[in-house]
Amino acid sequence: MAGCVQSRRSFLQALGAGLTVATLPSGAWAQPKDYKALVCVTLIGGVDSHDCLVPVSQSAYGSWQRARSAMLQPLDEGQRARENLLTLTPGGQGMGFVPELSGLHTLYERGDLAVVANAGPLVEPVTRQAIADKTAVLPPRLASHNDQRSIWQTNEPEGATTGWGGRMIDAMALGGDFSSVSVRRNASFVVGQTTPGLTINPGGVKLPFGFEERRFSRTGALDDILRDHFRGVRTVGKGAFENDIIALQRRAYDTSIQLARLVNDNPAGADAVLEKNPLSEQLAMVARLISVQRQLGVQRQVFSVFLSKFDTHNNQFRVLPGLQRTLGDALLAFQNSINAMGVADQVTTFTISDFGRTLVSNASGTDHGWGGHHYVMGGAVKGGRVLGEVPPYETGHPLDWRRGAMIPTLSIEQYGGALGTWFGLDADGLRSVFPRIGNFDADKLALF
Amino acid sequence: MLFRLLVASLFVFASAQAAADAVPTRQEAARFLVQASFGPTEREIAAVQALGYEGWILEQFATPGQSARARIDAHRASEARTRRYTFRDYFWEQALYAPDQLRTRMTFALSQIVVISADGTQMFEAETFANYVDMLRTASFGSYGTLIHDVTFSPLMADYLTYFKNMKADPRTGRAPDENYAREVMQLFTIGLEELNLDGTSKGVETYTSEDVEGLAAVFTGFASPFKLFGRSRLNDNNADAPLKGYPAFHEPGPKTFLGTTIPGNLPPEESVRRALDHLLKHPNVAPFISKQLIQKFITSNPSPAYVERIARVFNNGQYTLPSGTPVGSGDRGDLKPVIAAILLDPEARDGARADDPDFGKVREPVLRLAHTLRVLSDPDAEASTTGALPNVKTLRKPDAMHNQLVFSPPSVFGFYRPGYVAAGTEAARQGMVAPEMQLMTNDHIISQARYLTNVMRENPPEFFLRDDARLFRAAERPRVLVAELEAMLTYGRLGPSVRRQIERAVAEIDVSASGKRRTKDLYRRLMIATMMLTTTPEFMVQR
Repeated sequence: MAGCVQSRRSFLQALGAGLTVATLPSGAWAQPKDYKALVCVTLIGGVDSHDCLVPVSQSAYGSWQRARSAMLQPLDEGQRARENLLTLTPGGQGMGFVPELSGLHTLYERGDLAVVANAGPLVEPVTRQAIADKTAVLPPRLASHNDQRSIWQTNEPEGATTGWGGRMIDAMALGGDFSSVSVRRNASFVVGQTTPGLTINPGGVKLPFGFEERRFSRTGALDDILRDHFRGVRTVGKGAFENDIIALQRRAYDTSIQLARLVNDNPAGADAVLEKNPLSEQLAMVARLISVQRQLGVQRQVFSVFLSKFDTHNNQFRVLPGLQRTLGDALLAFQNSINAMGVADQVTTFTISDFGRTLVSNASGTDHGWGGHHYVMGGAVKGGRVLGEVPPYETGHPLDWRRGAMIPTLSIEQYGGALGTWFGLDADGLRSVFPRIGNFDADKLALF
Repeated sequence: MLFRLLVASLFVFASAQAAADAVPTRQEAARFLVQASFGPTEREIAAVQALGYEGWILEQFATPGQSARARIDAHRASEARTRRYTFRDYFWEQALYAPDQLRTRMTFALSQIVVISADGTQMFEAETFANYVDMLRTASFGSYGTLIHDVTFSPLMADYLTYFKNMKADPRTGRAPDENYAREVMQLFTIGLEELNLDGTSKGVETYTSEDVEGLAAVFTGFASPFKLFGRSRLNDNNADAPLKGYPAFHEPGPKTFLGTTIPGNLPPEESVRRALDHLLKHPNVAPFISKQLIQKFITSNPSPAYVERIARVFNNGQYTLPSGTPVGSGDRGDLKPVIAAILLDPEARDGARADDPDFGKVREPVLRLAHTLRVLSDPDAEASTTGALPNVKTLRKPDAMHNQLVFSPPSVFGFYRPGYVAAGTEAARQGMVAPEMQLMTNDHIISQARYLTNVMRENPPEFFLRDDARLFRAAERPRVLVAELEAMLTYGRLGPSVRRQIERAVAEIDVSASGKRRTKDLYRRLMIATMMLTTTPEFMVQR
């Protein structure tokens, strides 16, 4: 775009040409076959997997109950009663979801969702014995929120410059302004060398100042000056920060103008919005963006959404059930929306979190752990199965790191590697995305 | 005002020598005030020029200011409506009009290091939160160690980081103590995650293990608000002013081992905590860990190791000798008065040549940018009131309004942004620079900031700022004069001529040939356009 000399009107016309949603024939968002999207749901704070997936057999349930007796006392009896667990059959390794995760249970039973047991950051496979002997090579800064969340998103602690979602786009040479999108907050997961990542508000895209349909000045000259001000080429050259601010501003303006026309008032994804469910609003925006994938000219997209307040050190039973309900309901509504759009096989959604939590509880909550159980959903996923090994719900077993927190038996590389292979990466591509993938059995997790 | 002048004249003498060396230019004074205050005003520029940097800092040390609690009490006494978030009105009154700007800036900086978020606590009265703000105010020119002790015994922190009624281990149920505070007081408030050299660089060794966390967690057991019975203790607005009380029956009785020390068993709970905190505060990491973060908050995101080391030494010695020879500080480790003086007067902060280095400076956070803008637009003679109702800051208090930085309400104890944040995908990242404040720079924020400023300007006059708008309205009649006046205060001479001309052209596009109310409205639009454009330039958004 030759920005400066173009009039505002022709500039907007250029952007709008062929892009207006209202002029598209119905069903125009049917995607070309080679489109694929990965949607990463970050559960901020470290979700307590031990209170999501609960064993249903009498003896294992009893062991779980004993480990949690300090915390279960104030609990409403029915909420975690064995008979109320939503059993995963078949292939569920004797596990059930807690009732608030009924949305996930529905997806599981439908075959749209798989459970991945006990995944987490690893440098190499480790044993409890090697940790005790101090011979194990452990990931840095275990149990630190910001660092473990960063490792989940990027493979490195805080300070990483790219995430593995963005690196997948890099490896496929499909980077662009719209190939990496995080909703509401900046997320390093989506950022690659070739794709800087776009952060979008779930409520819609605001038009920049001076770009409203209503003109700011009678002549239109002021609008042109403002456009040049915000996105005109400037060479300050003082340093990286100034250049970054200029680049961020220009990109924010250009992308907002394009997206506002495609996304605002676009009904796609509206069925994924649930009342008082902030995650559902974020996912609905993802659905809307997927619906205009062709107009945006992208073949691969990575998305990041989040749900926070999982750091349940206290009052876990006042906080967690509501979050679980929010999570399960939002994922179900989103998958239904994606199915209705006819792109079920092209969109895969998965969870990550800072860490799992301790099995042993304090007076009313749980503490930072390591491995955790996660969920992968989509039409391409071989769902209705619990993959990996669920460690016993007791302490002192070979996968007990401390206080019943789990030593992961699947690495982020194995988890992300399975997703990457589905996304279209070959072995070389996977190695460039996950430099340590060679330390693990890359075929262990058969998700697709 | 009279008091300030009096104090000022005393310090004119004390700093005569420094001032004689070189009177800061207007631009240098403005740059200094961007670092040390919520933004330059005509009055403060004159004060810096009259007193010199040293003299201004000493004057700030001697300016008492207004405690948050006293101000909230006065607000309530005026029978104005007092809500939970009234302390935000106090913050903005202070930021825009308080004479003790340096203390207020330091309070804001500390609120982002020793974090309690108003959104994560169950307390409902503004007075309660004001108590916490006052702890930070006291520490601003006082002791960092005392702050950590005081905050640890604050019921607000106990509520926020979940050790209120935290109990000793129970072998019968398998219950373990809550580890939340033990972990975060180490990671965020005192020593950080990795062993540091005095210059803030990492030795590549982690500071603590999960065993250390478990050992320290046992210390923070058995605390609740003063009440007859531990089990009945509840946090409410009647006891929210009282420090936590230890209940020995619920405190871990055995010895507690962490970080190479053992707190003996059967001590009173308060004594266990005091000893544990003293042990943490003696750790060699504290000085570089806190000093570097303070430098980042005031001066530059990527300070040189030598700069960090100079400040860390001051932190450890509790003393700093001003360039004129005047000593500052009590000599107690962690005294922040000499620390902030040393940060602001360090050659790396003051050297104009260093300011042009590509890796120098910082992206300014939304609160500081907005405060600076509003100070420039405000009545130059306005002062913070000590009595009566607080100004109603309207938009500035709304949850969504501040674009990711609602004061005193960060999303978690990790704050609005991390000091080690690298903005993935940027040139800064490729050059190995951290860019903490860029964590808040979403597309939506960038688009919204221009709209937001004009919304504030539309909504708030004349009650909250611009109480005397005659000066800027007069300037608005002539585009060049208006842009020159605003530029002098907002980007202080750093804006290139082409950008300046572009803004003048934009201003001139707004026709002011009408008369009466229409003319006033058009002049105001000119002011809005010029301000909005100036505050969205990289010269304004990046501090050098």
